[in-house]
Amino acid sequence: MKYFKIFNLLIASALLLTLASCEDVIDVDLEKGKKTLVVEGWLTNRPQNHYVKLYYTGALSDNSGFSNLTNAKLILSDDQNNQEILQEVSPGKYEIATTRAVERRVYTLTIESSEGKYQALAPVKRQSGKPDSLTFKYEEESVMYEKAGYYPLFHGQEIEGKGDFMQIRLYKNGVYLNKKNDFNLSDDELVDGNYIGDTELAVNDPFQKSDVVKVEIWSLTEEAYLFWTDIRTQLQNGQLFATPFSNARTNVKKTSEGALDVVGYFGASLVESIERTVE
Amino acid sequence: MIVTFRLHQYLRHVHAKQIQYPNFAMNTIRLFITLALGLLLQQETFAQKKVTISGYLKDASNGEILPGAAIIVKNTIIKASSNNYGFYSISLNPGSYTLSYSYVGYETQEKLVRITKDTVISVQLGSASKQMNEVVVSSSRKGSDNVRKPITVTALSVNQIKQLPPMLGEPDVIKSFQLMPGVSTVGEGASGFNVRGGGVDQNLVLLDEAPLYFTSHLFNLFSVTNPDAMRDASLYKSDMPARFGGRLSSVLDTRMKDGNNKKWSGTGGLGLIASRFTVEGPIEKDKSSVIVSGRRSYTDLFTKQSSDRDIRDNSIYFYDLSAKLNFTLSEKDRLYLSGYFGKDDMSIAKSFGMQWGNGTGTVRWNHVFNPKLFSNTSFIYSDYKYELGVMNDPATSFTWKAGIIDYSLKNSYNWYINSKSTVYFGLDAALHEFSPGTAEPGSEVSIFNPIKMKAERAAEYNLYADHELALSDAFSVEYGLRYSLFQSLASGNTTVYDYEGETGLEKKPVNPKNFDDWNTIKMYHNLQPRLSLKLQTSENSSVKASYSRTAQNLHLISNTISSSPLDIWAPSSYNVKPELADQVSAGYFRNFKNNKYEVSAELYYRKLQNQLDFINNAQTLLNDNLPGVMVFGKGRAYGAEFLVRKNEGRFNGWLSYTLSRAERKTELFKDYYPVRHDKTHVVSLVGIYQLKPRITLSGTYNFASGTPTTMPDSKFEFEGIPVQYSSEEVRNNYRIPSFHRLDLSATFKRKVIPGRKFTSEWVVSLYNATNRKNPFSVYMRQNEDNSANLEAVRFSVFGTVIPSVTWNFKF
Repeated sequence: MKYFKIFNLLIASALLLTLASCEDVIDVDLEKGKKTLVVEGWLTNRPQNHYVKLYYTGALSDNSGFSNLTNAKLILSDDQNNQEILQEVSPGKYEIATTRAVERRVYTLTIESSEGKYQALAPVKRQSGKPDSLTFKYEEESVMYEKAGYYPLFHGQEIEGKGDFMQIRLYKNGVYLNKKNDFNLSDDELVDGNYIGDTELAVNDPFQKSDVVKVEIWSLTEEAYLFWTDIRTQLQNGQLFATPFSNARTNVKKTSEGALDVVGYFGASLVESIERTVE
Repeated sequence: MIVTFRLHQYLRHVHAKQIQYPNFAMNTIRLFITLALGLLLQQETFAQKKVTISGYLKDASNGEILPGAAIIVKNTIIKASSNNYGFYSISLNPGSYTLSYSYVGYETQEKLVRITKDTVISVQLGSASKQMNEVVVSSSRKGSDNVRKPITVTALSVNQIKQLPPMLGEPDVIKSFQLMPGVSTVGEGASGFNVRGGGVDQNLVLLDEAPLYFTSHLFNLFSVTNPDAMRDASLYKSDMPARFGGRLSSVLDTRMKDGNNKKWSGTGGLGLIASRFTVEGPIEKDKSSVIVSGRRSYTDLFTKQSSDRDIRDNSIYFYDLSAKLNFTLSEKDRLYLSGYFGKDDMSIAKSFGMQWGNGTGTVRWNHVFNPKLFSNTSFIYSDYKYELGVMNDPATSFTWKAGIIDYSLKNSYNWYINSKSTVYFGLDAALHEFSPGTAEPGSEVSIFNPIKMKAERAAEYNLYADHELALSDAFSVEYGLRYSLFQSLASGNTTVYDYEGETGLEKKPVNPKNFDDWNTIKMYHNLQPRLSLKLQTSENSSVKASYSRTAQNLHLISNTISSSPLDIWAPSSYNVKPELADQVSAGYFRNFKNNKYEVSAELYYRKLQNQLDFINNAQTLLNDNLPGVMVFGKGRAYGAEFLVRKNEGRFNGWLSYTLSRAERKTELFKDYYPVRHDKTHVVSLVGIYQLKPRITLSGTYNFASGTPTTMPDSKFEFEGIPVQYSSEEVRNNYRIPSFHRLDLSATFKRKVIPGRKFTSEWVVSLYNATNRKNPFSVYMRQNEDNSANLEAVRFSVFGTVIPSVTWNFKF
C-alpha cells in the first residue's frame, strides 16, 4: 500500500525538487552466472487449474525466454494425506488439476528431476483482509501523483490477531498489473484488528473511465510476504538511499546431495476478489 | 599522576569484582604507569627552579583567540604553541629573553623580557597587512606543526574553505575536507565522509566539543556548520590523541568563533538557495563578546508565492542558528556559553512532512590553576531528532519520531611541565538516551495502531592522559592511554535476548533476561593505547610513526548506500560489542621555503573488529528484532596518501592523491570484499589564484575510481515480473564507472571605500563545469514498456552543470 513507499517517495521527491539527478540506461559488462533451477508456482482456492513451472535462470540481457526443465516428477501432497501427481502439459509446465488450497492445510511440493530432488512447504493462512468495497478518487498530475487518473481506494476489516500477511493484486480489464509500482503488500503489525478504510492502493499507472478493475486479496505466510517484498525492493530500488541488491528469498529446498541450486517460490493462498468499473 | 593512580585503583576494583578482563590490559596499564611515572619524575627533577611565562594570544583587531600560534624563545631551541583556547605556557630559567609570537597572516611580535618569577604575558597580534588579501594568507597554520609535532593534523582554515568553489554558493567544511588525502565520500551527494576506509559513523564530528550525529542539510547538499561562525577545523586521522575517542576513524574538531570583543561587526551572504548572516560584538569591551550566526534556505519562500498549487504546496527548507557568549571572569577564568540549532523541514503536497535537526548546547569554563596548569570543564547537551508525518488522508496519517539525546560532562587539563613536556589528561562522562522510534496515528480514523520501539540507554566514562615529550632536539613522542567504560543500561523494564538461527537468515530471540529501569545490562571496558613518534630529520622535515587503538560504542544502523537522516543510532549493548580499530601509520613530512610549501607522504594499515553489518534483505527500520538481522565481522584498510601543498602566495592550493583499499569479512561470505565506499585511486587538485587584487579564481578537480556495488548475474521471471538473481554469494562484485568533476569559481571584490567599513564581493561558481553525468550508483530496473525485461541504469545525483552566484558582505 501507499504508506510503504513513503521513504522512497519522500527522498526521491526531495531530490527531484532541488537537484538535477538523472538516470541513464547503460550497458554493463556482467559475467553470466551459474545455471540455477527456478520453481514458479502458486496454489489457490480459486476454481481453476494451477501450474508449477520449472526452468533455468537466464542472462540479464537475454530476453528470448528461458530453457525449461522437462520430465520431472512433481507430487503435491497435504497434511491430510491427500496427494496429486502433476502432469507435464507443455515443456516445463506441470498442471495441478484437482487440488485446491484449503485454509490451515500445509501443502508439500516434491520434485524429482534430472537436476536433483527438491521440496517446498506451503501452508495456507487465513484470509485476514476481507474487502467490502472498492472506490476510486480522481487526481490531477502533481508531485504526489505522477499521472492524472483514477486511483483505487480499498475498504475492509482486518481480522484481529497479529501475524497476518496479504498481497493485493490488481487487474485492469482482465490484465494482471505487474509493474514495479503495482505492489501492494501488507502485514498487520501496525493495523491489527482495525478497519482499513479509504486506503489508497499503489498503482504504476492510474485507471481511466470505464476501466474494469479487479482487486484480489491473497493471504500469505510470512515467508511468502518476504519473498514478494524482496522482489519489490529489487524493482523499486535505486537512487540515493538504495539498499544493496540481494536475492529474493525462496522456500524451495534441495533434498538430494549435489542438486542444482534452486530459486523461486511455491506458495499457497486463499483469494478473495472484488470488481468494479471506474465511472 | 593522580589520575593514572586512580585509574589503576579503579581497575583493580573492577578486577576484584571478577569481571572478565584480559591480562593484556593490565600489563598495558602497568607499563603505561611505570613509563609515565618515570618520565614525569625525570622531567620534574630537571624542571626545578624554573619560572613560567603564560598567557593568551589573541587577534588585536577583534579579540579572537589564536590557537596554534607559535611562541619562540629566541637564541634557544625552546618553542611552544597556544592551545585550543589560545593559552600558552613556557618554563624557563630566570633571566632575560626575547620572545617571538607569531601566527600565519599576522605581524610577528617580539618582546624583550626579564623574568625572575612566574609572569603572565598576554599578546595581541595585528593582521600582517591591512591591504593584504585573505588569499595570500590562506594559511594552514598547522602545516609547520606537522613537521614539528608528533601528532599529525589535517587543517583547513575557514578562509581557505571559503575560497573553494562553493556548491550552490554555500562554502562547505566537510566537502572541503573531502579534497584532502585519505578523506572521501561514497558518492557525490552522500552525507558525511569516509576517512581511511571507515564508515560515515566512524568519524566524530565536534562542534565546540558537542557531537553532531547527522551533518547534512537538504538531505546531503550542505554541511550543517555555517563557515561564517567557524574559527577553525582540524581533522585527526593518522593518530588520534588519547583526549579524543568514541569513534574509530577520525575526529573532525570544529570550533566556533568567540565573537569580536572590540567592536560590532557583521558578515553575511545572499545565495541562490540560502542566505546567512553573522553579527558579533562586545558585551563589555575586551572582556566579553557575543556572536550570533544564522542561515536559512528560502526555496520554500519562492514556492509559496507560486500560482501553481502543485509548487506552492511543496516546501523544503533548512535553517541553522548558532550563538556563543564568552565572558572573561578574571585573569584566570573564562566562561563560554554556546548553542547550535539546525533543522531541515520539508513537506510535499501537504501530504508528507519530514523534519530533522541537531541541537547542541555547551557551557565551558576555562580555568588557569597556575601558570602550568590549564583546565577546561564543559557540560554538553546534544539532541538529534527527526520526525516524519504523513497527512495525505486521515486513514493513513501518522507521525513518527525518533532521536538521540546526549548529556556529557568533560573535564580536561593541560599541564605544561616544562618546555619539553606537556601532559593532557582528563575525564568525561556521558549519558545517551536513544529513542529508535514511536509512531502515532494522525487522526481518529487512522488505520494504524500506535507503536513504540524499545528505547535504549547507555552511559560511558572515559579517563585519559596524553604526554607530549621532546626526548631530544630531534626525537619527540606523544603517548597516551584512554580507558573507556561503557554501560548498557535498561531504559524502562527491558528484556534482552540471545539470538539463534542459521547464518545468513534472520535469527530468533531466545533466553529472555529481564532488567529493571536503570539496571546495568552489560559493561564493556576498553583500553586504548596511543603512541606517536617523531624524528626530526632536518629543521624542515621529519619522519613519524604512530599506533592507535580506538573503540566505538555508538553505531549507525544503516543498510543503504548513503546514510539518510532516518538512520538510527544504537549503542553497544547486550548483543552489540564495541567496534575496535588498531591502526599503524608512518609518514614523511617536509616543508620548504619557510613553510610556504608542504609535502607529505603517509602509509597506514588498519585492522577492525566487531564491524556491524546486516544479512541480505535485512529490515533495519522499525525492526524490534534488529539484533536478529545483524552480523559482525572484521575489516582491514590500508593505503598511501600524498599531499603537495602551497600555502601562501598569489597562487596557492594543493594536490592530493590517495591509493587505498578498505575491505570487510563477515560470517556471510568466505572472503574479504571491498566496502561500498572503497575507492582505489582518489586525486584532488585545488588551485586558488589571485588574478588581480580584487579578483580571485579558484578551481577544484576531483577524480575517483568507481566504488563497488553488488550486481546480479542472472534473472528469472515470476508471474511476468523480472527477478534479479546472483548465483554466487557475493557482495560488491561490480565497480561503477569512475568519477571526474571540475568545479570553478571566481570572486570579485568591490573596491574598498576608504573610511568605510563595508566591503562586499560577488562569487560566481560552476559546479560540475564539464557537465558530466557522474555515476552515484548502477543498478537494474524494470523496462517501462516491456515489464518482463530488465535494463541497467546509471544514477547521477548531479547530472548537469550547476551554476550559482552569491553576494557576500562584511561590515
